[in-house]
Amino acid sequence: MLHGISASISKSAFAALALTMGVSGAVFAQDWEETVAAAAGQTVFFNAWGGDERINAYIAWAGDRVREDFGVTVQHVKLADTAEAVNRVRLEQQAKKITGGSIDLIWINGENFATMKSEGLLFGPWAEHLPAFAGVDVEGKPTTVLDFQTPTEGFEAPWGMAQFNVIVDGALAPDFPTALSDLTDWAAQNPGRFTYPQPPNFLGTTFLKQATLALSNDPDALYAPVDVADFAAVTAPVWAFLDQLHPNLWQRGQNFPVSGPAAQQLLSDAETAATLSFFPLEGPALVAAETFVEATVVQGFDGGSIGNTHFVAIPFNSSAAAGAQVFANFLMTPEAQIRKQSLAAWGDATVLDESRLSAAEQSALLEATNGLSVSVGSVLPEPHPSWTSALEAAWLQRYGS
Amino acid sequence: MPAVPLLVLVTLPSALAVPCLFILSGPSAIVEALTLPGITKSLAVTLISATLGTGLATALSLALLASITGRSSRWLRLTMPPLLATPHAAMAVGLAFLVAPSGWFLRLISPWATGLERPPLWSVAQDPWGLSLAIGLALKELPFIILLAISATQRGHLEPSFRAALSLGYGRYTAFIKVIAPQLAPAMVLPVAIAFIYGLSAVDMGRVLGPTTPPPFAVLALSKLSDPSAQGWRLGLALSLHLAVITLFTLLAFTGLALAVRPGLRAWASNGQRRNVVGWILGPLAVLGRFAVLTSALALAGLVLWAFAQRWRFPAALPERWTGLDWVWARGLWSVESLNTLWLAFASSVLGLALALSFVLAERQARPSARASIGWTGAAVLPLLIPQMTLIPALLLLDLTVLGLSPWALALWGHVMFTAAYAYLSLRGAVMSLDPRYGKAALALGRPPWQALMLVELPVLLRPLMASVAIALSVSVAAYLPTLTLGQGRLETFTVEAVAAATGGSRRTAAQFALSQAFWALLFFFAALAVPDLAHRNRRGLAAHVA
Amino acid sequence: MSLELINLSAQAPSQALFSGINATIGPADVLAVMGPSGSGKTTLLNLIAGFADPPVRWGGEVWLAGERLCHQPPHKRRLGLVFQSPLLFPHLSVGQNLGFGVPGNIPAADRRARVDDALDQAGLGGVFDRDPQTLSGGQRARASLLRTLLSEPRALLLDEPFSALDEATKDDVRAFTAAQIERYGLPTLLVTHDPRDAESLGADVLHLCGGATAKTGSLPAPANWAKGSNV
Repeated sequence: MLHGISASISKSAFAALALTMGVSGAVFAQDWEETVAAAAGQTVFFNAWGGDERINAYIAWAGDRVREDFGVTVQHVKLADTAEAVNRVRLEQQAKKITGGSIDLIWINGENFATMKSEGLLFGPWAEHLPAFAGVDVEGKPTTVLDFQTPTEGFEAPWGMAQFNVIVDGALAPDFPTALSDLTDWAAQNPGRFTYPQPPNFLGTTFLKQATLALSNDPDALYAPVDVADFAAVTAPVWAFLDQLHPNLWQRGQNFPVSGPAAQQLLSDAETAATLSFFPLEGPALVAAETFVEATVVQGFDGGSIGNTHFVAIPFNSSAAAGAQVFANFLMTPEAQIRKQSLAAWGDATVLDESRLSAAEQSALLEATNGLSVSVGSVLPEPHPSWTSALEAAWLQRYGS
Repeated sequence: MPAVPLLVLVTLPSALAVPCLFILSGPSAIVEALTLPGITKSLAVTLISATLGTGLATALSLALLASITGRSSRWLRLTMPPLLATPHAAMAVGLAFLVAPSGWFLRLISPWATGLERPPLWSVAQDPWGLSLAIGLALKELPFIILLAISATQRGHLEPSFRAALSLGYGRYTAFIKVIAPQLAPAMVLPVAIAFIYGLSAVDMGRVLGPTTPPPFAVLALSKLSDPSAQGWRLGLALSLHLAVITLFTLLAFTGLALAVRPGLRAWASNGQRRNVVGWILGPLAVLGRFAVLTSALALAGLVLWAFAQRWRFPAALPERWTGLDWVWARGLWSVESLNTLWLAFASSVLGLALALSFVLAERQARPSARASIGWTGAAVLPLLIPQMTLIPALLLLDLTVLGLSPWALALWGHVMFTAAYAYLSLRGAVMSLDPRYGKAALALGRPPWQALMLVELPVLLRPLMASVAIALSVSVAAYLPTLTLGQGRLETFTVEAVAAATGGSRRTAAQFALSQAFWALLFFFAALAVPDLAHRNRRGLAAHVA
Repeated sequence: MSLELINLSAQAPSQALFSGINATIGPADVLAVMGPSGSGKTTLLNLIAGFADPPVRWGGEVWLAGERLCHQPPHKRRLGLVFQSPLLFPHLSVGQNLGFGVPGNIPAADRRARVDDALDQAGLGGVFDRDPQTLSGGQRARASLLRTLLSEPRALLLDEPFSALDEATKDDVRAFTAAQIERYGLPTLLVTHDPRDAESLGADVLHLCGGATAKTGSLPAPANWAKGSNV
């Protein structure tokens, strides 16, 4: 069945590609042909977080596809932390290595993007010139061009949509609350059955942001740089909340899982009853993969949950910028986006405007996700990126030592 | 002259590491690193886990050796190499799975014996003071210390003195600790020191078994090194530098302690008492040592099961859903990881062995005094005396700012530094104690020096040479930081994947990669050890050009 | 062809070993070097063979067949050195060990023939493929001497060649050695502490006394042998 779908997707992808190229005009089409020609034979070192085997498998598939179609070889450099790549590019900049850099494409968003953009570590602008970018839902999904309050300005290409959610084992925790303010009571009744990845892991940090937005008296302050806010006052309710919560967390809040998959392992071991996720379809996908039990449910938070877009960006000294653009473009095509959203592959929501997909593509998308929704309630925009490190540092100061 | 390649390729860059970090981190970061939240406790966790882990490993090794001296010990010789070849990260994941509240030990007796339907709330792994990390380190260092000690006991004259002590009325364990241990000590000091330094900078094990609030020192340094801000990165470099200084001072402290207690120990050894508390403790410790080996074996068995498990919830004793050949396996052993693992291992072992051999031959020729030979040995094993967290980032900086090698060449170089050091370590004793008359006989028969070396001395040394190759190969296969950092992410090997998966938390993927890696490590290990047997069986094939 | 030692002396870092050694050893003649442990017997042998160890300072000259040897590397001197333990190479068979001695410029077929001849004449036929470890002590000693002889040496240097053998075998091997020296007409230097070795080879004796002087002389009376041979 899977083969049938991907074959039909493949055909329509070419149709869409041809269509978009026609629409976006001759100027870029000319450039694009040159880019594709230059890309052939290049090897793209794609530095992307490598902690999830399903995502790794998806990247491997996408790499195979661009080798078939464009002769571009993609090598996935599996990072433990995206900041490793940021540091390497910075080091190369300091060493005056302005060409032939070791990284060609980075999976990135938020603070890392803000850092790289402001330090001039990125190549571009290029993303909005890609043919497939025309299909991106810039209107309906504004975070595709506004990354944590930083305008992307074509320095990164949107790849997928994430929304913060909780994967709950419905059999073990039928009453897991949707309001964060009720979580402390639930944890008191179910000690040891919940935890979150330790900041600065992005899931843990997002939990802090979600809690701050939900509990603070002044949530609007999070949408301006942190240094113009009264940090202590804005975040005081969060620390009170965590002080109360931690004694009833897994291992009494003295240790935290190091990553999302580590936290998922705890759920699948039945040590905990719920875990955090950034992809609303990840829970169902892991049920389909028989990692989680059938009774698993996915829920959002009262008042909405943080959503963002994740991107790919090209360092200033990439040795295969053309190949990187061809790969980034492929990642935005309906073929790649539908597969990415499927439960069988990854379950990461598309950045495309679904209404502009063909009927066949729309039904393929529906089938790929088993008709499940990619949304868990309303979307809260990401706070200003400067809050990320401020919250992480404050957390580490309080609980990390 | 033959000593120069090793000095240039191994000793010099190691010696440059510390000044290099000092310059690049800068004084402000060096001071600021000392004020990071939790830095004191982080340091305490590191010192406790490394000291306790190495101490425990040494004590268990001595107890196990005491229990096998004068007896056949096939089981120990057969179980140690696989445990030595198992990567630290895989062992940590397996061990964590054994002892976790939802771990295998409890699953095997739940719910029928414990009444537990859900994992209990207590925790064993990741305790705040690094005790579980210490146990993990001890289990992993045990085979290293035992194997090097066994190769020392084969030097011959230990067995007679053991029998002499027995006949003087000393019990097995007292005889061992009073007579054999002091003779083993010189050969064991270096392996124990290397294991201790490894423990101080263990990133992979520290991430899985160590506490997180705060993490062990080396883990803290690595996490700072991957901080996106420039200042955070300099803090990471400064922490690496501090780690080197701490290592130096703890080694000095332990050396001082050892020198201080040595006269007392000698007096104790010769006080004539046949019964004493140490002899009494060693017996139970030997039992504990067997239990430790069993635990390591169980940890590996748990990993094997996990490699094929899809869903495996508490309290099931075996996986509920099995996975077939998924993508890690599907790409098979001829994947890019395999090829990288293979060429790195072969190239670095051959180069490392060549460097070590020419260095140790030069050392033999120079006939250094006892004091000078410390210098020779120190130069060859310098990369092992500096924490990897200090050495590796420094080497990368050196490359980026001065050398400009490709990631492949740089990673190979990094591997060679370690394979050369370990090859030297395992080769030195055999080369130095080789009867010099073999070479003289060949020369006197009219063969030039190179023929005396190649046709007589090296073939006679084939067994220790291949043992060095085996160790070098498994060192390369298991190398994590050199591959990851110096390969600049471009070199995927099974170890890199296994550690990424283990620290990423996916037990199944970690198990699969760890098993793939162990496959190569074990294959190399036993193949290298089998070569001398095959060659000696067909002596003619080995020396057809001679007769 | 004769081996000449001219005014040889050696000085260890802490003490003088010997000095003023002068001797001429003619074809098939044997000079036995005797003396207590540490008197420099083996040092003298090593010095002649070209294995002067760095801490020992030495002086004098060694001439062989009218050629001065002092600055030649050991493998070019063509002096057959035989050790106390037979020291066959453990990784080679007995035949391969002997083949190792045959000069490299001999064609392969001849090499094999020479080794076989040598083994046959020594009463060692049929051991070509044996592991050296499986030979008896006497067989090993003979094989070791044959290996040296096959290398076509111009003189023989024997370092305690019989001391590792049991009494019964010693006489056999002594006789075999004497016969070979006679057959090839080799000037021979024998280092030993056992006067019977010297006697069996009909040797002149050079006594090293652990001091700066060396004496040549005849053997002590047989009645004194058991006490040692210091004169």
